[in-house]
Amino acid sequence: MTAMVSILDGGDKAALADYCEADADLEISAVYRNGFIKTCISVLKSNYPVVTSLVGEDYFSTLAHLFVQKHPPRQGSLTGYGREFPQEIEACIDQHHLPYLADIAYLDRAWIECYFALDGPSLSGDDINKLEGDGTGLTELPLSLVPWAQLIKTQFDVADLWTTLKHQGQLNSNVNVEPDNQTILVWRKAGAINLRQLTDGEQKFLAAVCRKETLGASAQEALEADPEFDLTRYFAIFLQQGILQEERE
Amino acid sequence: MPGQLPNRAGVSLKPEYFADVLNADSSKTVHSGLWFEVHPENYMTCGGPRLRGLMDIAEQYAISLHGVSASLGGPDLVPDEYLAQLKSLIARVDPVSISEHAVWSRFEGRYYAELLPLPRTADAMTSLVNGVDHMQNAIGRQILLENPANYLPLISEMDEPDFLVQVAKKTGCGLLIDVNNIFVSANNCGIDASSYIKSVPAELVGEIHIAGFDPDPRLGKRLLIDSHGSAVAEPVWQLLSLTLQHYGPKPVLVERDANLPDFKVLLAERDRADGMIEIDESDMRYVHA
Repeated sequence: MTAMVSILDGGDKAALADYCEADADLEISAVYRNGFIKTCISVLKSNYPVVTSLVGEDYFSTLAHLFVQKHPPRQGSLTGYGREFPQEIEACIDQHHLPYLADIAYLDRAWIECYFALDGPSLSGDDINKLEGDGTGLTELPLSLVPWAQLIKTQFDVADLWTTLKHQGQLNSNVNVEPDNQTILVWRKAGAINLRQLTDGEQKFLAAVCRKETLGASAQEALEADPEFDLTRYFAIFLQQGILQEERE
Repeated sequence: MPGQLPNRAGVSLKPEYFADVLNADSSKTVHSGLWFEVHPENYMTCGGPRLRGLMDIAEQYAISLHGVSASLGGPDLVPDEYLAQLKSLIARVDPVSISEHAVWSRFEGRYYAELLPLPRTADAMTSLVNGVDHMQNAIGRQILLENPANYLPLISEMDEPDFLVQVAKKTGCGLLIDVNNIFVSANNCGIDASSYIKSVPAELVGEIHIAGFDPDPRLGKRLLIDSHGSAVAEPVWQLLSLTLQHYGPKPVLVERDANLPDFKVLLAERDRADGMIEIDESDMRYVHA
């Protein structure tokens, strides 16, 4: 097996000579390495479709091949393979020269993680009514984000670009991308993945929720960032979108 | 529901086909006895629409879980994490059958995502028997073990049917005979496909696979690749006919993993396979309940 592993890792095919019949064509051993690499690259393309659309299949394969060599799979299920891919893209900007490519990769990653996240109940308007009816002080209600929602911080305004490429696979017109620190909410609702670029107030509110703060403390942080933050409106939106849950220790 | 697949034809199920399956008119009987096979690795997720879709389909159709990553012949036993994920999926979709490959793919903590060949030696058999035993004990049921597609003639102490039959007898597992793999191996390594099939006792065979192959881009037809990316070739249909003559009625799967055609096209292949099985009355209508 060590001989085969050597070939899979790019070593000399001659390592297999002692294990094959005398007339075997050792060139054929390449089929195993090629199949292994092809599978990994195919999974990465599937998990990072917008990065693939942006840089093209051939260049993506080059980036993915480098990634496979550095981060080979360790689990039999490849559904989540490539967790470190956005960080690797961030680190090799000298190769692709696309400063916002890592942001795109982080959004692809968030998409797949939200898509495969644990199902479960979220906090609903009825839950809130029941808590109020029970006399529970809502401001002291500890909150957290559901597993199928994530906040992604980007360094460029890539939300439109990502959405266009995700749904169309190509750009039919120019989409300007400018440096801009943004926070994007990615979440699953009724089986579909959604994106929303957050205002300062929303971002502060949900960042506090991510830290499992109470509703009151989260609202306070939002209001400090944006005195116009409409808690009633946004809280209703977040409940309706099913992204909040009551945090239970 | 540990049991047996119906002696009918099924197809590989991909998420791309979920809508076709879930929206199908169940009153039509043209595809009666249809069952589905999936790779469990693609559903080892915490949740989400893909898993939900499979669970919905599993309520209406018999499901077979056909693993590709257990590495049963490898130096290490199947990882506990993998077995836990598999058991969780079994609890969710209640598969009728579970199968794996007589290969290895894990080494020193890495997963090589290929069905790697075992030399047919006493040592390799011991590893494979231990792997099959461990998996069957962990999930508490029998599995079927599939013959690999061979590309290189490895030095071996016994032929492949003898190797697999001995493993089956030592572990109590059944065998999944992949006719396309035998055809590809015959082309690549010079074995006799017909005598291979006749060397396996029918009572050990729990399922048959057919699939498409492709010539290697560099070496052409000298090296056929078990690609699952094209229609089943005519010589493989002929070999399936011989296989069914020898084994009698068995569940037959039309495998397709790449270059997915329209679902109707895949079902047409499935119906051709189904028409080749001498269907017993008990398999005329299969109810998953």
